[in-house]
Amino acid sequence: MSDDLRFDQMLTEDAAALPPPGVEVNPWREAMCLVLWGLGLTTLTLHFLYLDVILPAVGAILMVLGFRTLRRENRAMQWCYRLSIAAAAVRSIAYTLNALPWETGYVPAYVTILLTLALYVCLWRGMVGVSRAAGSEKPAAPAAGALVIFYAVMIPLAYIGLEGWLAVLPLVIIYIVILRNLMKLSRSLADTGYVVTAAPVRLPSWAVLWGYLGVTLAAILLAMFLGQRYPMDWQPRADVPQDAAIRAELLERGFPEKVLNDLTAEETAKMSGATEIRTQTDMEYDKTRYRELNTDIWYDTAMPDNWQYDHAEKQQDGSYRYVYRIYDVRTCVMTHVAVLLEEECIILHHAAIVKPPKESYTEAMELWPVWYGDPDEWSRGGWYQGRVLCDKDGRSYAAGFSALTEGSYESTGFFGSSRRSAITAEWSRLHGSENIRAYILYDARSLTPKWGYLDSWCNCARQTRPVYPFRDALTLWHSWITNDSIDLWQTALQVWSDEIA
Amino acid sequence: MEDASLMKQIAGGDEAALQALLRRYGPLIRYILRPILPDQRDREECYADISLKIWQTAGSFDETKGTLKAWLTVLSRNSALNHARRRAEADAPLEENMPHEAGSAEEALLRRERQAKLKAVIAALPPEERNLFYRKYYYCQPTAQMAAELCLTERAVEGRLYRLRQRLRAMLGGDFCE
Repeated sequence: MSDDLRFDQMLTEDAAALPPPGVEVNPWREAMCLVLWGLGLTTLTLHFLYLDVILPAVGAILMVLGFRTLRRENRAMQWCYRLSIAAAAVRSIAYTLNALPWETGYVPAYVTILLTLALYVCLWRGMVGVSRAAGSEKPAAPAAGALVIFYAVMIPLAYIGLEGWLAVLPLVIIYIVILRNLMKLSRSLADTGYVVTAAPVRLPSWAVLWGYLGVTLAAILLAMFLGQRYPMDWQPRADVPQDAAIRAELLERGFPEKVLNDLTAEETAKMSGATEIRTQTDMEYDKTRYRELNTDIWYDTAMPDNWQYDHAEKQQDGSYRYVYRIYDVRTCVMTHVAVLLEEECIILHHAAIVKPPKESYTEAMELWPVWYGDPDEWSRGGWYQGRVLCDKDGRSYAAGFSALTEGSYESTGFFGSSRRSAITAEWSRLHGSENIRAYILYDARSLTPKWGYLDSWCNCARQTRPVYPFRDALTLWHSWITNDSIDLWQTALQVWSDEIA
Repeated sequence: MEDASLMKQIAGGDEAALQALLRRYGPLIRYILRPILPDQRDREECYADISLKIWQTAGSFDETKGTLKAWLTVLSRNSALNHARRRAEADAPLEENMPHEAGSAEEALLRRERQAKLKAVIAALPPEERNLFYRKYYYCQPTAQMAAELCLTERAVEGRLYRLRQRLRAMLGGDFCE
């Protein structure tokens, strides 16, 4: 007999003198504990610190682990195991898709609902099966059956959009009571649960748990960092040359040449016969990068917009030197052009991005057109157009926006909510590109013989970091909570007619 | 029905109470018997013995000393080990100079000392290792069963058992390592 065998035999003999084991060895108890925790966590929805994702994901995999042990017990438990794997996979895929700018609609929700209902039915039959195998006189699992009925009732209620605490609170209480009864049932089956023969495993529980959570997290992170971009159809720029006469006419009236160079022949043709052109250029500077200027001059009212007074230093002779922060790293040049024609006006908002960040996510432009600010003087023309341009490896590229739409939305601000007209464009930059420009043109009809004031706003939003779940630059900007994830440039073309001025 | 009143009824000669107890704790008894007695017929014989012992000794059950589950666990384990020992002795060829089963008084004293030491060592083990110890040395479970019930691979269980054995050797020392 080997030394180890002799040692084992001695321990086995002497173990008789040990107190009765307080340790739990019932395979049913551990497995059902995991399943019940899984049920609770997958139902729980706490909308902070990403707990609405983390807890259900942990719950889904706990159910897989629980049913993995019980899968060979009866056919229903085997189906529970399969369905729990499918539910965990669907959940993982849905969480990954949430990080992407794809509209999945209600498909993942419907699939999860069906899988969960089927899982609850199998759990009920499985528990009845265990009870029968243990020789119970009346094999039954009423709490598991109640869970099935509760869930089946919940589906139509969710479909009709049941809301409000008075309606939801009783359901939450019923659900907690069912879970409690299920826990009691599991405990009462614990002694009979010794009939369960645990199925062997190829991977330890910790590997399955952390593997699933790790893979899901990795997929979400990959989707966030690589996928939060709009699909764009970038093509080498091959524009038809603009009409020379129209171009000359526009330049003569003061149309900025750099901006005009970006327009298509069709767009310039639309501006033929301009009676007047008004332009405005705004520089946007990086709000985080500055240099210091130490001077003995006190800039009172004459301080440029991009300067900021920092502090004063008293000199030995009693005089002061003033330190200013000069924010002069340009990020964007916004050019606004109003081309006045007979009875209508074409407004152009053009953004030239200077030194864009390396990472590229979603970008957007939201215009508040002239008829929104002054509905008595201007009305909607109905035409709007635009695109994005950039240079890469010495070649010029152009692409239409991923989305360019006109409409209105409910805006909630400090003074209450109002309906806001807007033309919006969304895009993502070409990787490694430079000299990026984006513009939108739209027309407006004049309602008065002589116009007095033109007010057209251009809001440019650029997503600066990935966010979960995915929200585009505009949604991030419109949200009060998440607007620290964007760079925003808000400028407006605001001109009075010469007659009024 | 409560366990204690069930035992009182059995002690009073109520056969239905015994049936009810066996229905409730039958799976536990069979769970304990399975790894110690791999043969189905041995298990059935042993199960019948245990039922008889419960019937005969139900009056000695004292709920203040421990739970019925613990009482049945000890009864089932000891019955199964005795059954297995008897079966092994019956199967083994007779040898000359077979040692006396009970051993000398000195051996009994040494065993008691060893058991007391083991008790202290097991109480000091972390819960996971104590669980493994009970499975291996109390319930005599094979590695495959331990692996399935602990959701580990057999290799992982063997590794843990090896480390547990090393640790016990170090902690127990003395007679255990001779």
